[in-house]
Amino acid sequence: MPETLTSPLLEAATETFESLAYLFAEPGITDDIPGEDVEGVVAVAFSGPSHGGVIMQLSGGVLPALAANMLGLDDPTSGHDQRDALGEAANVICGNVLPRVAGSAAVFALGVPQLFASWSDAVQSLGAESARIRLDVEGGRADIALVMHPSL
Amino acid sequence: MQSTDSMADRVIGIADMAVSASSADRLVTYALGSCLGVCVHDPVAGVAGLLHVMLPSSDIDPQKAQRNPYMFVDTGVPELFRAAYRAGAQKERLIVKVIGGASTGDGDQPDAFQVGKRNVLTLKKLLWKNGVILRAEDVGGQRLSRTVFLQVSSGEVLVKTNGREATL
Amino acid sequence: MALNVLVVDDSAVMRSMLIRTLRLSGLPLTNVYQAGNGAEALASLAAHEVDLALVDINMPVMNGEQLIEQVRADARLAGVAIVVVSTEGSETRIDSFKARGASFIHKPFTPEQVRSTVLKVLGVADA
Repeated sequence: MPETLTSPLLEAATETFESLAYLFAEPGITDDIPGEDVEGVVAVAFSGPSHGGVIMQLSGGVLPALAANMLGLDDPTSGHDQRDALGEAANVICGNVLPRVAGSAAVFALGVPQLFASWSDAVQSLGAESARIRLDVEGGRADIALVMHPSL
Repeated sequence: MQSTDSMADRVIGIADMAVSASSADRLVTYALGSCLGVCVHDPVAGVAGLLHVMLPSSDIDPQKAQRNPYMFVDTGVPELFRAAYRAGAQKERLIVKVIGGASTGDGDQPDAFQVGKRNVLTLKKLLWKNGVILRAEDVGGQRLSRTVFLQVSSGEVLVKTNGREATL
Repeated sequence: MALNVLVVDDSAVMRSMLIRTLRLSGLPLTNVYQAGNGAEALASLAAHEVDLALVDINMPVMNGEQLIEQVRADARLAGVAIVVVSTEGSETRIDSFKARGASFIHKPFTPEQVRSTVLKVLGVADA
C-alpha cells in the first residue's frame, strides 16, 4: 500500500479520534478485517479530481465510546446516536484526508455517510481499497480504507 | 508580571495540588514534562489552584489513587475543583488552563507510551463531560520541560519553557 | 444582549456538540434552533429571528454553500452572522465563504476553537 496514501490516512484518522472524541488511537498491525464484535461499517463517497470514498469499521467497544465522548456523556448512547457518530467521524476523516493527498487547491464533493452490513459490502459499493490502516483505539479497533481512483 | 524569583511562592511538587485564596501567594510547579499542570482561577472569589498530575487514569492502580488522588488526571482534577469550591470558587466563573503533556521521545528514541498525549486527552475528555471549556493551553511538544507560575491575585499564568518565558 | 442561534448540520450528534459548546461558552443564549439541511434552515430563518448561524457545508437537499448564497441574497437576513463549520479543505472554497462574510471553523474542532471564534464574530470580549 503506498505510503503516500497510508500516512495521510493515519494522520487524518488519528486527529479525528483525538479531537472529536478524545480517544487515544495508535497504528496497529493491518491484518484481516475482523468479522466478529463489529459495531458498525460506514462509507463516505467523494467525487472531484479523483473519486472514491473512505470506509470505516469499528469494533471492540470503540463505537459506544466514540458516541458518548462526542456528546459529552457518561451514560450509554442510543443506537441512533451511535450510527450518527459513526457517520460523522467517517465524514471528518474523509474531509481531512483529501487535502492531505490531493493538495489544498483540489475541490471535492462529499456524499452523505452510508451504513453497510459488512466491510465487503462497502468495498463492493465503492471499489477496491487503495490504502488501508488499522488503529488500536483504547481496547478496540478501527479499520479504515481509502478508495481513490482518478476521474476521467 | 512580577519577577520570577520572589514573593510568597508555594511550590507544588509532583502528584500534588494546592489551592489558595491569599492574594500574596504565587503557586509554582516545576519540570512538567509529560505531566500536566492544571490551573484554575476564580477572579471574583480571588481563588486559584494548581495541580501537578502524572498519569491519565487511576484504573491502573485504584489503591494508589485512594492514597494520593493527585497522581492521576481522573481523580486529581475533580479534587482540584472540589478544593477550589471549598475555598469559595464557583464552577461557572472558573478559568481553566493546562500546561505540559510533552512527549518524552525524539527522532531516535520514540515515546512508546505517549503518557503526555494520554494525559491531555484524558483531561480534555473529563472537562468536556463535566461542562468545562479550557481558556488556554500550552501542551505537547517534544522533550520540553515547563515550569508554571500562577499568581493568585490576578490569575496570570507564566510558563517558562527551556529558558523562554511567556504568559498564557 | 439576547442571542438567537441556528445550528445547521445533517448530523444530530454534531449539532448537539456545537449547541453544548455554545451553552458552555457563557453566551446569553435565548433560543437555539436546529436544521438538518439548507432548506430546513431557510424555513427556520423565515419563522424566527436569528443572530448567528453555524452552518455545515456537505448536507443533503440543500448544502451549506447554497444556503449561504440564499441568505446573502436576502436583505432581511443581512444581520445574520454566519460561521461555516466544515471539513472543507479547499482554500478556494474557504476563501469564497469568507468573501461572503462568513467565518470558518475547521472540523475536527475543539470546544475552545468554537468558543473563541463565536465570541470574536459576535464582538464579545473574552473576559
